[in-house]
Amino acid sequence: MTFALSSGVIKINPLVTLKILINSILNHNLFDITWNQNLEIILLKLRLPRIFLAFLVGGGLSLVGVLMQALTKNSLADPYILGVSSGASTGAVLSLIIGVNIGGLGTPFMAFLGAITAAILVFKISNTGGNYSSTKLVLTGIAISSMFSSITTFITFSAQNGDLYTALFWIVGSLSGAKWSSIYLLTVLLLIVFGITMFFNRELDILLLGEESSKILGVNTNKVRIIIILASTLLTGILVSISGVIGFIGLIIPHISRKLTSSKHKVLIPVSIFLGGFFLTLADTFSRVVMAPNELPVGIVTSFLGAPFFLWIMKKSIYNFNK
Amino acid sequence: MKINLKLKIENLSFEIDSTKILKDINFNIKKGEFVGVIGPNGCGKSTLLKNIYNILTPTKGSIFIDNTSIDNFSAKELAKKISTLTQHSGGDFDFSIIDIILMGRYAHSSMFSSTSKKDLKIAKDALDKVGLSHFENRSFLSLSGGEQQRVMIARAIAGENDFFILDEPTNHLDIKYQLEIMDIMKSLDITMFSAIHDMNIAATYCDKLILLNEGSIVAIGTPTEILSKVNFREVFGVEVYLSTNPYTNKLSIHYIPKCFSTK
Repeated sequence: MTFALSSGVIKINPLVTLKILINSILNHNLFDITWNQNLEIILLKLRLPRIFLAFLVGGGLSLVGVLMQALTKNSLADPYILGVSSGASTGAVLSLIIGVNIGGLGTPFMAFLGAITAAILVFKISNTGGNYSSTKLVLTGIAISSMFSSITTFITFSAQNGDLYTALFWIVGSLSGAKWSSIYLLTVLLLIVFGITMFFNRELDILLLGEESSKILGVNTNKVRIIIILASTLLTGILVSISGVIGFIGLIIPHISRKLTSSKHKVLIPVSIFLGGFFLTLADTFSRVVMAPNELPVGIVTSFLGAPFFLWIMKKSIYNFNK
Repeated sequence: MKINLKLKIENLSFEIDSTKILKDINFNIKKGEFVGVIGPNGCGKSTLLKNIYNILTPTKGSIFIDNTSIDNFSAKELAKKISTLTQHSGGDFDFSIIDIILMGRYAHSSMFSSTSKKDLKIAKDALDKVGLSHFENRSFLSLSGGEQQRVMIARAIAGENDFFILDEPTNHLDIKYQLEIMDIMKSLDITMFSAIHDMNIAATYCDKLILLNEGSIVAIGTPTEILSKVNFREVFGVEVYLSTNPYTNKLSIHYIPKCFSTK
């Protein structure tokens, strides 16, 4: 964390970073101020919230990835691939640029509406004809995703110049808009969704065995499914409304966590949240430093790493793609 | 007459898009019976079983387990009445064997409790029964098909039910595993209702057989009554020679392919 805080366009001595942090936590100048006061502002007002946000968004996206994979019993599922993130960004852009505001609850709610619309479309369409297959699910996800992306792009084109950057931000994904208010909102929401999913950890395990096996073992699959879809689309909506569409984290992190631990959700969920948070913090630090003084949107970094990873999973035979 | 009935099916019909898959099915299974359902492909065996273990909902008719209609059971309650074993399906995700078996205890768990010591003991005992005692921490996907199916049996056993529904549990397995699995089933000495593909297995293990064709029951009776030359000819379209296996004293079926029957 100190490393992430110290890195950036303006490099700060890690020791100074620690001193500033300790001073501010204790609310008392334990260490004499030997540094430029501006550093303190950069650190506490800009970088610190951003790192918290990166951790929360990374953890949240990974959690949603775990949930989507359990719902679809498909290791290729994540909010990005299933088009849920694209739906959310369409909702967000609709609200921000055109000013659509259903229910008067603002951008996060519109993003949630977009996310749940996309999720329902993908699940319904890929289930038509009764015979579910992973291939169908992923292809449906890609189609729905590009449909929503094109709507987002269309809205962007019709936007005033000033709004263009905002829209681009949603399409690519960036953490530069970190605010303490969104951090509080996200912390509360992440804790709630974490609690709900840990409560259902056994049901999630069993869902991985498939619909029929779950029913045989006594799981009320419809109930669990609805709760998980609501929780994960709500989280995706809020995440996208804060940070835009950051791709592939929900795919890579659960996968690595499964390899490191097991498919048991009791362990998998906390491990994924932590790893995802850690990974996005690192990726965001990288995106701030690599093209300094300019910033790279972090979504570019994660997609650049994530896409080859996705191909690699598809290639691996242990996860039967053609089922 | 109510006593001792494990399963009672009354006027059961099932349709998909107004195609009749099951037509007015009626039968009973008494406690402790090993009953097989046989019939040509597409006769409705699996559909019948799925209606009982509640993956499908009957279009008409009622199903009673222990004299209670299954409509009155929640998913969890039903899982405490019947253990179901289907044709093996693994899934993409890996679990340890003990975790898979513990999933068979799900219906017995209360909302807030996690796995108890008692659950673990029951799971281990179940693993013993199928002869895989030392496998508990192995990964499920690393096992052979026969071993995986034995884990599935252990999971069903861990459910501690006295009624098993089996949907062709030995399909696609080597003959050694087929016999092994049926032996385990027989040794459990509880009520069994099984769809069976292999006629010799049906003849060897079942007390009673139900012959199904085009969604209707053709006959119900002992293996000797049901597995007759006439039924083989009319329902399955094959000629057979029947004898008694001198070791098991059970009916033995020998098929006579067309290229040999023109003497």
